[in-house]
Amino acid sequence: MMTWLPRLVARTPVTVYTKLNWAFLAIVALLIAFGGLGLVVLNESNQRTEDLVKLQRKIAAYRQLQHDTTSQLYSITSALLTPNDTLLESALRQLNQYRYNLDRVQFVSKGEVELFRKIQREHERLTQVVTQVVELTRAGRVYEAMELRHSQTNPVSDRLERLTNEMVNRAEADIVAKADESRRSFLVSQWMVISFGLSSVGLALLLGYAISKSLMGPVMKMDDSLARISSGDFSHRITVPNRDELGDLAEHLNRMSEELRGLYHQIEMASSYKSEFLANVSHELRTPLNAIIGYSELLMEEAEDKGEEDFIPDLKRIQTSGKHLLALINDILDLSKIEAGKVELSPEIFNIENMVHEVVSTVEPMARKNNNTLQIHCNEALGQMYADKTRVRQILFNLLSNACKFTEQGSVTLDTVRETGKNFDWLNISVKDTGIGMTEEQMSKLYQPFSQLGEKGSKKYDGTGLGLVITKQFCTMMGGNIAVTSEYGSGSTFTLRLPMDGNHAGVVEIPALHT
Amino acid sequence: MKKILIIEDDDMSRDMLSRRLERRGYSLVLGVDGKQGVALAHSELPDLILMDMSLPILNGWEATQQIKAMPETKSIPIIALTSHAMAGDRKKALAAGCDEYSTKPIDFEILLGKIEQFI
Repeated sequence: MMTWLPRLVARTPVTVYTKLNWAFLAIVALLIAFGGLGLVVLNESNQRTEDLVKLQRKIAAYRQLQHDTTSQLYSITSALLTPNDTLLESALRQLNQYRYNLDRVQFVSKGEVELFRKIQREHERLTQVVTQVVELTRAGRVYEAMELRHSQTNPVSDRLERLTNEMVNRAEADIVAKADESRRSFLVSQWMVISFGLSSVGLALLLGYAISKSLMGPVMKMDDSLARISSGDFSHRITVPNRDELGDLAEHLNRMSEELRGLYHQIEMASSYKSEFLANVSHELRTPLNAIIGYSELLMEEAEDKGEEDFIPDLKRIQTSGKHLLALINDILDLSKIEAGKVELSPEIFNIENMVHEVVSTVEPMARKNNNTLQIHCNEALGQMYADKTRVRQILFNLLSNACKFTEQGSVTLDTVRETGKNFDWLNISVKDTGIGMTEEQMSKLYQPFSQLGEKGSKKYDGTGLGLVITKQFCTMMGGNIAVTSEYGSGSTFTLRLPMDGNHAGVVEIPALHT
Repeated sequence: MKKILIIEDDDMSRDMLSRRLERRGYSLVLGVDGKQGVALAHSELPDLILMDMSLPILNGWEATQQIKAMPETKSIPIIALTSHAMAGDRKKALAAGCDEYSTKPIDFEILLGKIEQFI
């Protein structure tokens, strides 16, 4: 019930708008029916009350009749026993009055008509007999009157009395029965109202549940699907039973996902081709470049030997440009390999202090060139780490050489700290300089390729503009991260955090670069 | 005079490297493929071998293995010349028996330092 009903609603091939209207109308109909039932029940209850009131009034009338009968019979008996004109007259009047009352008795029900007729007949006879007795008495035929009274009046009186009693009894039994019946039908009505009300509420709830479930189910599925799509998973397809707008929506969502998957695949392919192409081009470029650099160095040596000093500055320019071009090509190759996912880390165990000093020794000439002091805080206590040594060196070299490059007559400070983690330790490295610093805008472009060169081509600083991009990518690959704080004009601090246990590297997916 | 065998298929690289080493006072023997390199190592018995890894006929790793397998030549130090940033190549070179490696394009001063470590 909890599953097939929503599915049934979902599968109904009408619009959501119609479904909602139907549900609303169904609930309105239930309300109307409930109101109608209430009215009927109220009406019945009122009817029964009126019936009871009628019965009570009937009983009162019957009792009056019974009372009248008794008092009439008593006065007749006493009048006939001590006959004088006044008493006889009064007895006859009473008989007439009784007759008059009897004719005017109301509420006689069908079942009592027979009985009532009997009473009328008996009373008529009583009237006849009493009239005869009175006449005989008045005529002085006392003895005959007495005879007649004994033989006729008394039995008739007895019957009359018995009949009126019976009438009252019957009416009383009637009212008791009627009260019982009334109570029973009240109970029935009560249960009817309660059960109808409860089932209406239940039906409305069920209807609401089915409608909302049939609407919300697909909406939630689609939400889930959209979340997957936005996180790059285009393989998910949703099936909803709905044959309404939501069904159409789900179908469109699936189509969109399929379309996106195709597009994404194309983009990935294009990106992969690009990376492969770059890798090949870089490789092919390096071979002739190798010769250019090598031969220019060779020529410089030979020019020195032969005393051809004039050639040396130009040869130096060829060599420097060649090396710059080589650095660019190497960086592009690195990046394209990272993008193509072709870079594999090869972790090894190495001593951190030794590695740091190796890097520092290559950076020292650069620091000297700009009159910077290099402060290195690193000691044996750092111990060893398990990581791709070449990449860690490359990262550290990039940061230190950048710091030396952008600082003049200042200081570059390297701090290293081992941080104890829950499962493994971290190596925290910070490189702080007192150089030119960066503006907010420059910092926002920091990890974008060639952003250093982007500044109106003013090529004051050496470098490819790819160093930090590669550094950040390598950090991420190793499961670490890099952060920077800087103040324009007074220096920058790069903070690097690398896991010392290289097994945790590579768990982070490398985001594609937008070169 | 110390003798160095250069096994390198690229003419310019070989020429450049040999001329620069000659200027530093080494005598040079040149080979252009792996097979010739192995033969020269055996016949010339050089003091050191510079071995390119991507050679025709017999590649650098196989040539290295053969040289290191022969008793006459097994003690000759071999410096592998590997492509830039190919971590796999470096590992393979060392696994094949090379004593040292230098990445291409060659930084001549660093290579000289490495050569001097051995001879």
